[in-house]
Amino acid sequence: MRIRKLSLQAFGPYVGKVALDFARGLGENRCFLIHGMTGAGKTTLLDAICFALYGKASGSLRTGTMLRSDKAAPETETWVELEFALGARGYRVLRSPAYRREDRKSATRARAELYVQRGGEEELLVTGTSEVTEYLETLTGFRCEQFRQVVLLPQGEFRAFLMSDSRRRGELMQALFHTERYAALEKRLKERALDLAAWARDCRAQQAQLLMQAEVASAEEFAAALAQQEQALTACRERTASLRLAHEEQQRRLVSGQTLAAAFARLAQAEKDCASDEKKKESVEMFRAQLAQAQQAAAILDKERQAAEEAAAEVRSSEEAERLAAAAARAKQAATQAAQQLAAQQEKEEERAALRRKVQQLELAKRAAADAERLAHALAAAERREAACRVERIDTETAAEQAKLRLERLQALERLGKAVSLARGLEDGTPCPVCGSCSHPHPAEAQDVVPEEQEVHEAAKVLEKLRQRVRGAQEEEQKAAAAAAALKGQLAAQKENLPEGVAPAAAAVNRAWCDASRALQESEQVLKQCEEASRRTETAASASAASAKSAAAHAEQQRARAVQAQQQFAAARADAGFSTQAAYDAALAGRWREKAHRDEVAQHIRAFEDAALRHRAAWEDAARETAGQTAPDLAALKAAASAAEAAWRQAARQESETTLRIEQGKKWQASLQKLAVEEKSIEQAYGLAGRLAQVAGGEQPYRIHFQTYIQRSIFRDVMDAANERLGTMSGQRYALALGSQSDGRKADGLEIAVYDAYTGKCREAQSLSGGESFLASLSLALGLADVVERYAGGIRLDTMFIDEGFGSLDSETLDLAIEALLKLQEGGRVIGIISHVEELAARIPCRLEVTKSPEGSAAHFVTGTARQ
Amino acid sequence: MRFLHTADWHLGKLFGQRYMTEDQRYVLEELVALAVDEDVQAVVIAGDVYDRAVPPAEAVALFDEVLAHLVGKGIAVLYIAGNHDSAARLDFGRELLAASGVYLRGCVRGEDAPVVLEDAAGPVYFSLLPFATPVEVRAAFQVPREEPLDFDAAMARQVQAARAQIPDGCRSVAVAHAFLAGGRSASSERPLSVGGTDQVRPAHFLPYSYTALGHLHGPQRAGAEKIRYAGSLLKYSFDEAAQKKGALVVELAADGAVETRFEALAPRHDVRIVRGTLEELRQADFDPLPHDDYVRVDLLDRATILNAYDKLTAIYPNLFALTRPNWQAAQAEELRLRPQAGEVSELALFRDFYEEMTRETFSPDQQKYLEAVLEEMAREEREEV
Repeated sequence: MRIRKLSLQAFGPYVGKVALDFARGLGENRCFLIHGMTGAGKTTLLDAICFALYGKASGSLRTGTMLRSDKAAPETETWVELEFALGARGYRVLRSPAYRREDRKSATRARAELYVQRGGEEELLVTGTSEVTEYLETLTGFRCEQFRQVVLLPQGEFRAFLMSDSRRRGELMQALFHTERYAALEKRLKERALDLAAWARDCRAQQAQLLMQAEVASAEEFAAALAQQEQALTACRERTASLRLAHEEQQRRLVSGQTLAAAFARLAQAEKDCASDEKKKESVEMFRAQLAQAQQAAAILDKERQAAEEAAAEVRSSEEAERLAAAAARAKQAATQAAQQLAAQQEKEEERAALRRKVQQLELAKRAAADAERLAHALAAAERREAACRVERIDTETAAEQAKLRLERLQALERLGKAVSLARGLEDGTPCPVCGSCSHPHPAEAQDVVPEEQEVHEAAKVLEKLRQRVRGAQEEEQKAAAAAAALKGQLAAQKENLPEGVAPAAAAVNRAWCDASRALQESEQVLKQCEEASRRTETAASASAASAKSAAAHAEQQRARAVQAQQQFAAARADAGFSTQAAYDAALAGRWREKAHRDEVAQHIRAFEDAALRHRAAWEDAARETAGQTAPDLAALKAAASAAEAAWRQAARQESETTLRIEQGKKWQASLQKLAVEEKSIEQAYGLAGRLAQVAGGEQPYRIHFQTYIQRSIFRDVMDAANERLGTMSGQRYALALGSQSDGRKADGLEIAVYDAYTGKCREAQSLSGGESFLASLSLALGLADVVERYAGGIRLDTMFIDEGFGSLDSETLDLAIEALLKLQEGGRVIGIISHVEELAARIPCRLEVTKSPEGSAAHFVTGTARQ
Repeated sequence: MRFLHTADWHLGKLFGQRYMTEDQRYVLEELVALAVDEDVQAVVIAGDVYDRAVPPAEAVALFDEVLAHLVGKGIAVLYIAGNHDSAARLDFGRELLAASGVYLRGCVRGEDAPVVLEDAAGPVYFSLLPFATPVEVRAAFQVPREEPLDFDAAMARQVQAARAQIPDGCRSVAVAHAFLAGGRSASSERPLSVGGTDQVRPAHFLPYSYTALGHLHGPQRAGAEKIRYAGSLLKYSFDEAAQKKGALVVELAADGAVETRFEALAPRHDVRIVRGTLEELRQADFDPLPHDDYVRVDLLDRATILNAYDKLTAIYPNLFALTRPNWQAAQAEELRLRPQAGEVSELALFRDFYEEMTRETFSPDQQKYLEAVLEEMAREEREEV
C-alpha cells in the first residue's frame, strides 16, 4: 500500500486544513523523518492514516471523540482524507468522526466514503463507516489491530507483535498468508473421519436390529434356525399334497350328485309348466280371433282417414269464401265515402282563387311599405343633419360676431393709443395734428393697454377666418335642408302607392300577408288529401271483390272432392267384410286401433306357443335322464366335500407361511452378510481417514494442527528474514527462534524465543531490554514484510511507519538500525519514522516538519540535511 | 614544504559498546610527537574529525587539547568537515581560529579563498573542500533546478571554483572528503548516499600538486600517486583488522614534485580477530598477542556452547563481539534445503507434516485419499465462486 496524499482538518492539534502530498514531498527518497517538538502532532499524522482506513486511532490511547481539535471553530468540520494506491489501483477514502459540536446539542454523525480512481475519474464505491471499514479490511488484508502490528508500529506498542501470545500471532499469520485453507483441509479430514465413524456405528446398529427381528442372538444361530425351518417345510409339503388329492375326490362326487339332483328338479318343473299351459289355451284362442279382425280393419284405415280429411277441407274453404265476400262489401263502402268527400272539397275552388288574389296584393303592399319605411328613416337622418348644420352655423356666426367685436375694440384701442401718443405730443398752443386746434381740452389718456399692431392684424385674420367658416356652415345647412326636402317629397309620393285599407306600417302588412298565404296553403293541402283518400279506397275495393270471387270457386271444388273420398271409403269397407260402419268400428274398438297394441298381442301369442313347446321338450328330457335313479343326498355330499377342502387349505396355508418365513430369513441373512462386509470396509477406510484426521487435527499424541504447522514453517521463514537484520543490528549476538511454552511443554504454537549467542541459551522475548526489544520488533516487522511479499497471493507491505523507539538505542546501535532502514530503500519500501532523536534528523535528508504554534500545528515537507 | 596528512579521526566514536576516546588520546599524542619529530609545517585533517554531528564532551575536549598542542608547537592545522561531522557546528570560529593558524572549512560556500602557506620556495595554495551533498552544493553555487547534480558533478563545481582562485603555475594542495572511484571501503565508513552513485572521478584533482583525501579508512592511493587517502587514525571495525594505521608525511618540493611516506602509529589496544574452538583458545599459547586487545572471537565449535560469552571474557577481557560461523552456516544450509511453503503444493506440505509428526512414511493409499479430499474441496470452491 502506497500513500499518495493525506489531508486533514481540525484533527488533533491541526486546527486548519493540512494537505500533504507524499508523492511530491518525498520525491525519490523512500525514507523520511517526521520531526517536530513534543506535542506538535507527529503521532497525530499516523493516527490520521489509521483513522482514515479503519476508523480508529493508531494507539489504543486515543479514541474517536478525542480526535477533534479543541481550538477549531464550531462550523469547521473534522475530517481526514487519504489517497493511496494498492498495486496499480488508486483509492481515496474520506472519513469524519462523530463528535459534539460546541454550538449544538446533538452530535454530528460519523461519515465515511470510499472512492476508486479509474482512468483519471473517481467512482464512489462504498459509504457508511462500518461498510467502508469492512471494505478496506478486505482490500488491504488487515484489520486495524493487525495493521498496527505490522505496518504501523505505534509508540510504546511496537513490541505487541513480539510479546503477544501464540494465538494472536496465529491470527495475524492467517490474515497475512491466507492459511485458512489448511485449517479448512483439517476440518474436512475430521468431518470425513467422523462421517465414517457414524456410518460404521449405523451399520452395527442395523445388524443388531436385524438379529433382534429374527429373534436370534447371532448369525450362526440364525443359520441353524433357518436349516430347521427348511426341514419342517419339506414335511409340510408332503402332507399338503395328500390332502389335496382327497379334496379333489370329494369334489368330484359332489359335482355328480348335484347334476342328478338338478335333473330331478327339472322334471318336476316341466310337469308343472305343461299343466298351466293347458289352462291358458282357451283365452289365447279368443285373443287370436280378435286379432284377426282388427288386422283386417286396419288395412282400410287410411281410406277412412282420407275421407275425413277431405270433409274438413271442404268446411274450411267455404268459411273462407264467406269471409272474403264480407270484406269486399266493406271496401266498397269506404270507396263511396271518400268520393263524396272529394266532391265537397272541389266545390270550395272559388274561395281559393279569391285567397290567391289577396295574397298577391299583400305582397305588393309589403314591398311598398318596406320602401316607405326606408325613406322615412332617411328623411329623419337628413333632418337631423340639417339641424346640426344649423347649430354649427349659429355657433360660427356667434364666434364671428365676437371676433368682430374684439377686433373693433382692439382697433379702437389702437386708435386711442395713436391718439394718446399724439396727445402726448400735444402742447397748448401747438395745433393738433388731427384737427388743427390749438386748444386741447381733453387730450386722450391711456386707459387700457395699447395693443400692438401685430395683435390687431391677428384679430383681423381671425375674424376673416371665422367669416369664411360662417359662410361654409351656411352652405352646409342649405345642402342638408335640400336633401331633407327631396326625401320628404319621395316619401309623400310613396304613400300614394299603398293600397287603401292597408295600414302603411310594414309590420302590419307583413302579418296580413303571412296570414293570407297560410290560409291558402291549408286549403290546398286539404284538397290534395281528399283526392288521395278517394284513390286508395277505390283500389282496395276492387281488389277485395276479386279475391272474394276466387275463394268461392275454391270452396266448390273442395266440396266435390270430399264427396268422392267418402264414396271410396265406403267401397273399401264393404270389401273388407264389414257390412256396416258399426261392425267396422267394433273391430277397431279401444286399443285395437293402434298398430303397436296389435303387434304386441301377436307377439304374446307367439311367445305362449313357443313356451308351450319348450316345456314339453324339457319334460321329455328330464324324464329320460332320471329314468331309474333316485334323488341323491346333497347335504351329506356337501358336508364331506367342504371338510376335505378345509383340511387341504389349512395345510397349504401352513406351507406357504413357512415358505415365507424362510424367504424372509434368507433375506435377512443376506443383509447381515452385506452389512458385515460393509462394516469391515468402513473400518478399513476409517483406519486411514481417522489417522489422517488425528494427525491433521493435532490430537494426542500429535500436538500440532496442520495449519499451525504451516504457520510455524512460514514463521520460521519470517524469523530467518528477521534474523538477517537482527544479526547485523545486534552484532551477531541475538537471533529469534521458535520457542517452547513457558511451562516447558513441547512447542506447538508460535512462541518466540531469543537465542543469545553469548550464553548459548534461549530465553524469552520479555527478557530483552528496551532497546534490544525495539531492534527485535523492528527486525520482525521487516522480516514479516519480506516474507509476505515472497508468498504468492501475499499482500505487498511497501509502506511502514515507526513511531519512536529510537531514543532507547545507543549511538552505535542507532547507526546499525539506521543502516538497516536505509538499506530498505533499495527494496522500494517507503519508511516513515517519527523521532525526536537529533542524529536521525542529521542522517535522513527528507523530513516532514511539524511545527507547533498557538493557532495550531502545521506540517510540510522539507528536503535537506540537518537543520541549519 | 613538509606536512602531515591524516583523516578520519572519528573522535567520540562508540565501538564495541565503549567510547574510544582514551585510545584516541593515546594515538593522538603519538601523532603530535610524530609531527614534532618530523618538523612538519602543518597538519592536514581531511574530514570526519568527529564521529557524530553532536559529539560527546570528551571528544570536543580532546580535540581542543590536540589543537592547542599543535599550535603551541607552531604547527598550522588545516581541517575540513566530513560526512560524519555537522558542517555548521564544525564551522565554528572559522575567522577567529584563522588568526591563530588553525584553518577550517565546515560549510561549503560559493566563494571561498584558499589558505596560503608560505615556505621557502613560495606560496602553497591549499583548497579546503569540505564534504557537501549535491543538495547543499546546488544551494551554495545556485545551480538551476533542471540541471542534475550528483556527487561527481558537485565535486567538479567545487574544484572549479577553488581553482579559479589559484594563480597558474603555483603549487597547490587539495583537501577533500569523498569516495573516489576505485577505492576499497570498509564497513565502518558510512555510505555517502544510499542507492545512488556517490563516487567521484579522480580526474578532477589532477591539476593539484597533491590531494589529501579522507573518508576511506584504509590508507591507499586513488587513481594517481599524488591522490591519496591517509586512512583512519585507529581501526574502527573488524574489517580493518588487517589494515595499517598511521599518517602520511608529505614532502612538497619547490617544483611541485611530491613524495609521501607512511608512518605507522601504534595504538594502545589493537583490534583483531581470533578464530578457534573453545578448547584451543583456552590454551595459553594459542594466541601470543596481548589478550587485552579489542578482540572478536569466531568460535569454530559446531555444538552449542553454554555461556560462551562469559567463558571467553575470562580469556579476553576486552571481548567486543562473538560469532559462531559454523553454527550459523548449518542454519543457513537448513534454510536453503527447506522449501518455501508458498511454492509447494498442499499435498506435499501435508506429506511433510505427516512424516514429521508421525515419523512414518506417507502411504500411497493415504495419498490417494488426500487427493480425493483436495479435489472435492477445490470443486466446491469453484462452484461457490
